[in-house]
Amino acid sequence: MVLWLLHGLTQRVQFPVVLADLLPRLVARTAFTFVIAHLAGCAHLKPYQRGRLAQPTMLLGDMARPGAAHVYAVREGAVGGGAGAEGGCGCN
Amino acid sequence: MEGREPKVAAAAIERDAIPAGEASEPHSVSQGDRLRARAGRGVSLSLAWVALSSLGLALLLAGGTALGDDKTTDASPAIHGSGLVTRTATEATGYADTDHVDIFSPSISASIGDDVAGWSVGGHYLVDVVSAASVDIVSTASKGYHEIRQGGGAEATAKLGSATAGVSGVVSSEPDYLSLAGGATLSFDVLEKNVTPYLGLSYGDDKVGRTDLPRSFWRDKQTTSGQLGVTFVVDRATIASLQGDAIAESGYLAKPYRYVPLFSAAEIAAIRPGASIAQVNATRLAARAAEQVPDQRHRFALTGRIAHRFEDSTLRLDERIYADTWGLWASTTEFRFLVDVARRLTLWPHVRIHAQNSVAFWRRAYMAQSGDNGSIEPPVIRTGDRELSELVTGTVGGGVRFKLVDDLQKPWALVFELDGSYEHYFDAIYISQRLSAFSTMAIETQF
Repeated sequence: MVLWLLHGLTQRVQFPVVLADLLPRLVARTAFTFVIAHLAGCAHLKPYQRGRLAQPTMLLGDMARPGAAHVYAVREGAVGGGAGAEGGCGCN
Repeated sequence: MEGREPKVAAAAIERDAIPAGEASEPHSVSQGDRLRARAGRGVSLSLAWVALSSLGLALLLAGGTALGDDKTTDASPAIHGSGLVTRTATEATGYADTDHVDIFSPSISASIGDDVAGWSVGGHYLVDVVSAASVDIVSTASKGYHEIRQGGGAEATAKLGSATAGVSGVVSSEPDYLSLAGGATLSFDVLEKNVTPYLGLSYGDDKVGRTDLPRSFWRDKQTTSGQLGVTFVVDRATIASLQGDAIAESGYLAKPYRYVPLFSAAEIAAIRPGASIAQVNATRLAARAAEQVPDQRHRFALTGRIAHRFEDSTLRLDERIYADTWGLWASTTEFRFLVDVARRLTLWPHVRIHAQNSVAFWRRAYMAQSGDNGSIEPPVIRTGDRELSELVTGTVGGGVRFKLVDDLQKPWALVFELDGSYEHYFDAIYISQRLSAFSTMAIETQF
């Protein structure tokens, strides 16, 4: 994806606005496929099997601390993806 | 929700044009002088902070490695013990770049809760001290400004069976901006906590003004956000998540201080990427137009995250794909590899790459048409915000976490992070690249 975007940038490709209108459907289909595919192969671990998952570094929140998130939000034209109702490893 | 605050900060930090050279622009010269005089102190403060943080990082690395010679991995869970737990965090961040923008931002946060019972309440407060003399400001014959923003918020969570609910509210205030926002989140533990779907909703109402305008002339901006995601256990050492965000913004979305230079059809071709202030001023028409952008923007982001735990290290990979109805597409890739080099010491390198195209209405130089009566008619939609143009940003850095108290029940820690960034703008005037440094020091306590 990064390479694709970089290629687009270097070629000065102006993506049509209409593509953005298609994104909700694209996102929904991609998310559905991704979730189903992973749930099918998802491990069903018991609590005592989650020792490594319980590491504090395994929390899947936004990696950026609040100050860094401020900077990124200002300097990038994109937003979103921040931690909301953060899913954890089910350790508690 | 926390997501509101960066938007508020963006308005403060990006307010990089306080015109003083136009008769129609109401900033007084005396105020500009006062702001300029104060800006210098902020620059020094922020640069000193970045330097101090760098020194602290080096000392911590040296000292931490020596103290933490036992490489036994701390396999303690994220949640320790039972009963009431109080957590606090004190953080200070500094930012400085080659475009003469400096930010110093101290913050505090605290929460109390019962991890076993599954509830918590908390709050936070921060101050942003922003000093800017960026090229956009200088190009308007002003030398800079200095501003303070204050923000705070409160949040609460409660576990209700297999569901966890949360509510939050934030307020942010500065002389020309007021933001109020609130949100709610809900998550569920299913399949024996191997899968955690979650959703969130938030709404924010902002008032956007200028320091020289009465509140009655301020404009409104509304932001509604929805978030849907799922976290799932992949195997004994891997966890992943997928999250979709939809954000609807409406109202006044431009920057009230930003003015866009206009060019005649004969001269516009002479404006190349990175054209200097002198070149632009020598070529542009006398009149400049206030920035004007569409009053609605729908933004969508799809974010995937994965974390894998090795014996003594954790690998984190994030990828965000973004698109909006202004025609902007972006990809943000982030990598972090946290290594437990000693019992008390964790180090991590950090890489972040962001690439985006421009919004559909972006022009490096906007051409004005001549009206019937000799007037100049600018394009209806125009912007000078180079963060809406084609750009690539690379960030490289690292961090260190040192446990001040080696106690599972009281995991006090000192955290340092230092990052350097390079941004390249493919199609913007004034500058084509920017270097910046960003550092954070935080002390986290729990008792």
